[in-house]
Amino acid sequence: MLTFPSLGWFQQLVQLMNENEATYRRLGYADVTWALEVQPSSPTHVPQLYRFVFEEYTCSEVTEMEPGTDPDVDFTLQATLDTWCEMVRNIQENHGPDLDHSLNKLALMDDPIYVAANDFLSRDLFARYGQTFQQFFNGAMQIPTEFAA
Amino acid sequence: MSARTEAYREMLRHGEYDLRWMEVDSEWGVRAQPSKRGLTLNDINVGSYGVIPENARGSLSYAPRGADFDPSELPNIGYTLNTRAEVWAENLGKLYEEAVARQWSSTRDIPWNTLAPLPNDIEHAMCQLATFFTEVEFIAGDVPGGWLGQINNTYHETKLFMATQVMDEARHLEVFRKRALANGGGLGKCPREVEEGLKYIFDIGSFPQMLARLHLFGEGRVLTLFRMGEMIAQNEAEKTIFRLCAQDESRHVAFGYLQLRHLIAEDPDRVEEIHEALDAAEERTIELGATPEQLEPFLILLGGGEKHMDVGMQKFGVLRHKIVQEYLQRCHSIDLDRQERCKLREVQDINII
Repeated sequence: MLTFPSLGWFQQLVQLMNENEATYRRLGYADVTWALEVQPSSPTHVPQLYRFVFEEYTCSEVTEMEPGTDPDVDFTLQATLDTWCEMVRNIQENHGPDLDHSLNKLALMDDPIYVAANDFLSRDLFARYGQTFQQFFNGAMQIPTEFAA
Repeated sequence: MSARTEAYREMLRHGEYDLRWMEVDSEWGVRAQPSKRGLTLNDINVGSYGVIPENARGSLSYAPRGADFDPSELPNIGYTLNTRAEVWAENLGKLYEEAVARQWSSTRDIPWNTLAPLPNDIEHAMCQLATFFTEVEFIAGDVPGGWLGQINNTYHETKLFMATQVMDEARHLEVFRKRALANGGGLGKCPREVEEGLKYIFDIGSFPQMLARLHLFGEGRVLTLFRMGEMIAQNEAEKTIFRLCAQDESRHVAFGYLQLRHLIAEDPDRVEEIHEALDAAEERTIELGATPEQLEPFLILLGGGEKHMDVGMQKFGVLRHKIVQEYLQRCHSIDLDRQERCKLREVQDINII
């Protein structure tokens, strides 16, 4: 059982991606470096920041970074802990996200997920590789998870 | 028959060969190295073959960049776009490779079996929307296709990407036509306002203006609408259609963005020309927004039925705001300050800085 969110949990997600190269090959390659920011939902929560390097059909690197540092990425997906937990739970319970919990839907209106980028071309990479990102998070279905309180 | 051909035929009759074509005056001994994913377009931009000339007015034939040829001997194809500033940008080769790698099939990749009978108003609305998107995708393919023959072959990266866009748009119109005809409905109406708006894009006589109108403004707008598609989709087939189309659309936006950013950086005098195209685009959009065939299907689908169009109107207002915000942000990112000049009323509530 892995705790979400944690480096171990994301490493497992990455491993699932790398073991399923054929699925990602079908979607086409994605070269993008991005980050996921977990913002506190309550005063007791600690912010977290993870950085991912997608190269072709795999994720070559996942690291946990000090919150508040510049992750040097194309874009950062920013949301609260509650939002991320709800999204992952929904993917697991429904064997894929329902209509209200796809990445695209959650980020469409900039809330509850905000796509932060310095440049709009970089920001648009989120839409350009949209199916790849959704496939990546759909890996959550296969990870026995306990959620951070 | 030319004297050269006659002489060669004579040689052949005597069992002789020419072989002087091997004395080629291009860079020889080139061994482009494949990168991780194979031999890409960027990988072969080595040595003189990777030099992108500032202008190519001296080379107006089909002869490819880097080949050995005498332009004065070759026919003039009549290219009108012959400068790097106008029709080239960094990363277009990479964008082309991405387009090739991320192709999909409307026959194979859409779960058509998830379509199910829908209430009459919803089916009508989805079919009207599919009709509209089919019209839009026709123009989005015809326009780049029309410009392909105007672009000098020296800038082949641009032509190759535009060819993928034509293919993408073909697939889009195919998938929306299929949707309209696959679930008990049919094609809807094609109002004059929409058709005239599309013809306006077709008639644009300047390449940068076309990029501004079609790619930056139009494709950006359609990208948000496709991303919104998940909110109005009634089944997995429709969700998949919108998701896959959005990925393609985002590439097309990136193409216009890269090209216009490059042009503005290299030739800032062209900025007013771009603004003028966007002035007209915004005016046309204001008219389109008041066309029932355009507006009401969105309201029905967003609201959840004909009886809830007021709810749909509220949601659509939020989305329109989002569309304008993203449009202005894209303009800002390419050093095109559009906020003061924008004619769309949503601009009043937007601060992009």
